[in-house]
Amino acid sequence: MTIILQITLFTLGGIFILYLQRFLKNGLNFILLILFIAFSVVVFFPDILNTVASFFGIGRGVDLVFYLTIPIIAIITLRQSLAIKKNSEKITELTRNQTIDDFQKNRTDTDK
Amino acid sequence: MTFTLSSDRHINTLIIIPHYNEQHLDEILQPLLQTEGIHMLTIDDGSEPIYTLKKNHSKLYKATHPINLGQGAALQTGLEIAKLLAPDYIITMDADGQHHPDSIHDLRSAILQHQVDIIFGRRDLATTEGISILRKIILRLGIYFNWFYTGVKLNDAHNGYRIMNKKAYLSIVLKEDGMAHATEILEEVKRNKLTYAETVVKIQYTDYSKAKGQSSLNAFSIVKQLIFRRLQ
Repeated sequence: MTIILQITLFTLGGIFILYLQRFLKNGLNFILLILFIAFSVVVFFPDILNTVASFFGIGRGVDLVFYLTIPIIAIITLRQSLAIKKNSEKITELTRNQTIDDFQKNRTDTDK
Repeated sequence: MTFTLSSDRHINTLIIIPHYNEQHLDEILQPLLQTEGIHMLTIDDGSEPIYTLKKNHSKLYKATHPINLGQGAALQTGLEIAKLLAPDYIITMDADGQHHPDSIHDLRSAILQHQVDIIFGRRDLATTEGISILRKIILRLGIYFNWFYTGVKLNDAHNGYRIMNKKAYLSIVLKEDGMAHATEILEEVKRNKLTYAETVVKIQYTDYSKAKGQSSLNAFSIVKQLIFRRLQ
């Protein structure tokens, strides 16, 4: 029963990683591969998580995963916010160009 | 994208007024259009519905953003158009009536007297009426934050009343669309090694301007935007 669950988790994790790779650049793909390898090791050797956690003075393996998740989510959120800001700057530039273009077209030649 | 505009009209001072959903802009423009040596440029920042100025005047230029971007973006659009009109000086002014037109003379005198690139208007926090104690505290903290963040020490934070010469408006580039541009402009002063000074300006708070103005809590949003800038 346990082995079936482990194989299922490993397969689902692999499918998810392959799906994500379509959207990510090479550097992040490499990180994703490392994460998948770590995930696979934990799936087939769950006690290793407790050993690693003890090394860092953390009680349980689950706690270690929780503590790692927080900075990872923070980094992902920050990257998304920066990407949104970049797009926002492009929108501003396009809008400004149109505004100035319209300004020139609409301005009557009363200066001369 | 490069724009060209032919004009043989010499403009001494161009007042740039970004506005968004303002109701009294025509009343604000009236005394300014009668001032010698002044031209005006209004930037409608995507008001809904689009604000149609009742006034048409040969000294009044108008531009409109098709969507709302923020005061910083509108101001930068004004600076880009100013490069086409080539005035000797630019004054930036808010559209809610807080910036008293009498101080235009003070700003123009100060930039000539101090011989600097930019003069920042400053409130005399001790004597200006209509500011709550909380707002005064936020403004004081803002002064120190600006000093820490940009290295430029002023006696007012986020006062949009300022005058700059051609060297300044040709070199300043604002990328912050929102209210953080008021701190960004100090960064630009530092980056472009612009000389600066301050002069006291008259600020008048009305129920309308206080309702229209920034909430004190906006300060936290501005700090967040500025921190993000450093991470880009």
